[in-house]
Amino acid sequence: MPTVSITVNGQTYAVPSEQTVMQAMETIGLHTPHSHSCRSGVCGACSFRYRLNGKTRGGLACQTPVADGMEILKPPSAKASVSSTDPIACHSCGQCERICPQQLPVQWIVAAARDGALRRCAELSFLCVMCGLCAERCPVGINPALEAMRARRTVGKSHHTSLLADNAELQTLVSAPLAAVKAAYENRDFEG
Amino acid sequence: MYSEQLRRSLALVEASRGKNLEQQPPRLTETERQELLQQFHPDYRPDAFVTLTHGENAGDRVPTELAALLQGTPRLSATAALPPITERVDVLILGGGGAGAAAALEAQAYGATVLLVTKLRLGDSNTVMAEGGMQAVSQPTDSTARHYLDSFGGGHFAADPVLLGKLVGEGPETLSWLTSLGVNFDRDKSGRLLTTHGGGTSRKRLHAAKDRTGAELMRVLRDEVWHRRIPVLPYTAAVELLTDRTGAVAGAVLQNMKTGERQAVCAKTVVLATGGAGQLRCQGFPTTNHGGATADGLALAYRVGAKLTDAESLQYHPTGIVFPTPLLGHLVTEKARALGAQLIDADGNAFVHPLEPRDVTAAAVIRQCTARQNGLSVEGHPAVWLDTPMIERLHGIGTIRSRLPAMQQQFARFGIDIRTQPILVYPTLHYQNGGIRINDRAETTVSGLFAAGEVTGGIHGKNRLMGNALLDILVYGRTAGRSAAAVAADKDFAEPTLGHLADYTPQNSTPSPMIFAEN
Repeated sequence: MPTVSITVNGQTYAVPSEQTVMQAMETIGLHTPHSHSCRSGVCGACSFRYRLNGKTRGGLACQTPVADGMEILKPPSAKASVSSTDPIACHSCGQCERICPQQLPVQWIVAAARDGALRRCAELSFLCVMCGLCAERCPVGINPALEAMRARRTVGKSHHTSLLADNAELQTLVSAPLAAVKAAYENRDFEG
Repeated sequence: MYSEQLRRSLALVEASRGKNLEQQPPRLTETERQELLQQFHPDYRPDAFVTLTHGENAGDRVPTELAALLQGTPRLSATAALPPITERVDVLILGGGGAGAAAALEAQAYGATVLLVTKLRLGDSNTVMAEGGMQAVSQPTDSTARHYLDSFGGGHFAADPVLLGKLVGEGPETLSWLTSLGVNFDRDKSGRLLTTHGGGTSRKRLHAAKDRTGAELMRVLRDEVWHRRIPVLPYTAAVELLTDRTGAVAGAVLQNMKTGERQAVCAKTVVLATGGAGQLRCQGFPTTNHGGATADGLALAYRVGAKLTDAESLQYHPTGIVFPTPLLGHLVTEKARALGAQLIDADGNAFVHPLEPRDVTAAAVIRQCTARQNGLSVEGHPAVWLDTPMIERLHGIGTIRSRLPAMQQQFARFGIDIRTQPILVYPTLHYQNGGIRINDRAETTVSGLFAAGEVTGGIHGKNRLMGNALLDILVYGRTAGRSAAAVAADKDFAEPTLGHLADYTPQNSTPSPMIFAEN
């Protein structure tokens, strides 16, 4: 089986080349159960930081294939921050954007939040998994994930309308004999 | 990347795409569906089930892996000293997914003191992994009665009519609750809600947030829990429920996931929102579920005498990822088929209507790969194609980017462009249709114990329709929170004990609950 070299905590390991970083951490025995949940790239619990080809990047361990020479700077671990500095403090250093495991345009997200362009902020940040890597890196303490959350909720609320159910027909069905319900089911018409 | 067999088959899929787009296989009759299920659905394989010998459901058939936990060895003994009581709360909520968060919000709103305990972080759950959408009636051509019919029939008429009636009847109000909290559902340019079909729906009733509906919903609920300053205890598993002298539930023993330290929490009522059981990996199937989906709630509830219902009924999602291998078993949303992608066999032929109910579609895929020998093999795993390029042929360039962006990104990371290439899929263990029996107040058969979400049974019968789980966790999560708060308001704290364990005899040595899957 072809292998690649990765470095974790200063030590180099040979791991199978088709593995993800999470599988590699399991292979070399450095994995902890609390640093993963969904294993499919959405919960954000396994975010990690690495260096490859001279560049520092962030990733989700369950979604990132290992690469030869990859140096894991911070192994997968969960974190969540619940505070944020006002995005007016952003001086566009770009650290957040470079570390984002979802490759989101984080600086634009922060700028949109700062400018009150909430729809744009909501749209740009939709795939955010709120892993916290950007907040951890921000030198002035902005939490882009929370700024984006606020924007998305505001946009969501702006569309709110109340729906009321008319359940009279439903109540008749709930107490109807099984044969009648089965017949009604078989005779449904389908919307195209 | 692909073997010679796969490349040859891929060429056939591409050559037949035009033909398959013009003519899709017809919907089956109910008789044909039953026949297909009995021959090929994993729920109908007798050798994968055993009969429970002890407890409230003695005599019932359940999956072998679940039986081991239900009759397994508790992590505490009856004679053990109780760990120190660290908290006293009105409502203790076990589980940090959508149902737990909804219950916590509602219980607190009703004036109860609440503690939410979760094995990982708040939100690490199957809820965030739900992709396709939530069913709720919002369109003038639809009705809650239609939603009821679709769901009742889709579950083979086995659901509890009252529980299902409540589920669909409260759909519109639940959708409104979510938009009032700021959940973003897909809308057209004028702001009207977009709806799509799911398997087995007769009206377009699914509301999605692109293909990350559960994640969008969960992050809003989590944000609201944070804003309301509801106490959350993360990285903590419940290992046993506590009971008072009368057998009513009076709290739980908790265990820190990192240190193993234990504590007891004394509660007037407990809400079980512990989620599903996919990590039992029944019959060797992979699963779409998160690492904590280990059926803990079923084991805990069963030991204090709760009755289960339909516990033998599991849902195999027809389209689990087979390739790339690191994503084995993970979900390809049914929304892909709702948008027109069809299941195609090795010869390039469509073999099932893309929107049959899930169990029927899964059985059809299994039949294609076994009896009909028309499937593919990828590193020893059976598979068929899901022809995703059909989506853009039907709805135009850019549809995948706007409606399935997460799926596109997920596959792109491994060098597959789903806009131009079909993907390889096979059924995967997705959902537990049955679970703890509840009534329409989310009460279990044990006093003081409430349950909501995937851990419960009876709502979906023998098969759940797409989009009814997200509705379920909210309707019943909120109900459980309200009911538990109401009962707690009229109750004093009881002395918590492990009394129920004195009458319990383990039937095997499996540690129960499982707590976390070993990968």
